[in-house]
Amino acid sequence: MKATAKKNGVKVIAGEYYDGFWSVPGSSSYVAIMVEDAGGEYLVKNSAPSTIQMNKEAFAELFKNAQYWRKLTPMNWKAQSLRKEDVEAEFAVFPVHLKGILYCDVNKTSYFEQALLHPDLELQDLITELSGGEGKNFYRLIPVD
Amino acid sequence: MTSIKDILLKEKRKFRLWMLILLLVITVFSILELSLGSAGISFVEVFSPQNEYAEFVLREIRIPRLLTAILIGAALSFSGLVLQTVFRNPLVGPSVLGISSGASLGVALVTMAGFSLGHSDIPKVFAAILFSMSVLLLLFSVAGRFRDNASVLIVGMLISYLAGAVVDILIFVSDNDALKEYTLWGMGSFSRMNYGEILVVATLLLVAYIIVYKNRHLMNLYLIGELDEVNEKRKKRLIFLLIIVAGIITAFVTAFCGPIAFIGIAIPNLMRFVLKISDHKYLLPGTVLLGAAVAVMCDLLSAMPWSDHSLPVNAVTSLFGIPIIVFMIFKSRHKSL
Repeated sequence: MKATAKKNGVKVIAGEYYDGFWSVPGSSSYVAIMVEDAGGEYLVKNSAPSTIQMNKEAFAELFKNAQYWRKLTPMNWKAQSLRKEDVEAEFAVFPVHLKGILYCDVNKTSYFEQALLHPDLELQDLITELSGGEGKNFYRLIPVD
Repeated sequence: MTSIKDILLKEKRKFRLWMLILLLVITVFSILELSLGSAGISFVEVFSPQNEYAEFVLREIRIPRLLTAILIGAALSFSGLVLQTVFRNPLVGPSVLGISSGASLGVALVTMAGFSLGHSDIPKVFAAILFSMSVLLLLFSVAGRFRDNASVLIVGMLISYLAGAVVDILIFVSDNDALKEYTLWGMGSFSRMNYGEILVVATLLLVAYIIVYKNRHLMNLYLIGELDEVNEKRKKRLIFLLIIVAGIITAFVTAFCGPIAFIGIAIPNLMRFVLKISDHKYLLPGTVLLGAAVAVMCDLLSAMPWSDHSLPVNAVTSLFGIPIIVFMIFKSRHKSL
């Protein structure tokens, strides 16, 4: 069964920074399909099913149009809210339209154990948060001023 | 008959011509590096950005990367030349003393132990410097017991193997994220340094260069074996100073950019081949400039401005450096340094 939300045109980017490179899920990846099914628009357009390594500038080019950044990392990030300057300074990206970070801390949630078995729960989170609500399962929204 | 004065004058002219060519090459590559990329910043915008985003890309991404490439290329080539002189061996590079391996071990311990401060590189840089300097001190504690430099070289290589073994164990027990972080660090990148770090390495390199350049005559004498006979104490002091200087430069470069392969070995050889002289008065500035030019060229290729992807800079420097080293091995069968 495939459940999809009505398209809301919210632009989403995903990716993690590793020592000079951005690891970014391709446009046919699980993440991209989830975002599209949640009604959002995934900004990477390369039809790659797996993660690709991007240079800082190529990622910054996509990031400047993003409204939400889906960030999945085991790092214990304590930020409750962020200023755009913090994002710019820490990640060398230009957050022109960024409203928030859809953040999943895999140490505190059972993302890897549950999300693949219950993609509906992840989709529920993404639909809620891309519509401005608060997800209950894996993600929490860190607003960016 | 050609006099020695004519030969020296000819050498000087040739050196000046090559310096001019290298400065021109660095300028051209620098402009290309600043104007090519996914952000679509035009050549004119490099000098006068038209919007905030173009200004951001130049200030935060392209200019630090260009400065890093110039600096690291110069530093590694300088360090390689100094070590090749110390060991009187053209196939020696900054990595042979085990300093890079020490840095790798430090970073591996930090990464695999999961110790991080947000996205800050400080723990990694600190560990890399600590471990590489520890290797350097260890080398010196044993170096005094050996009569020849080759033994120091062997100890350095053994330290590399030891560090590699510990890193292998850490890799074997680490999780995917830590493994990925360490692997990408090991591939090297010129995109990691900020302006503060660039200033630190630039200052170190400048001081190191002045120290080594002041000793250029002694280095020339040492290279042809004259110093061995004249003054054994002075020779030991010179070697100690050169290894310390090269070691510190390698440690800081590896800490900030990861281990960058082959620049340190290939560039001094290429400069010797181009100038056809072994006088450090010419080799030192020449190697530094050629290293900077080649590093910028390698970075330009690794960034692949025509694509969203990028290649690890180590892969490109290896593709460039290995043919030169193979050439040198064949050449060294007929002629010594």
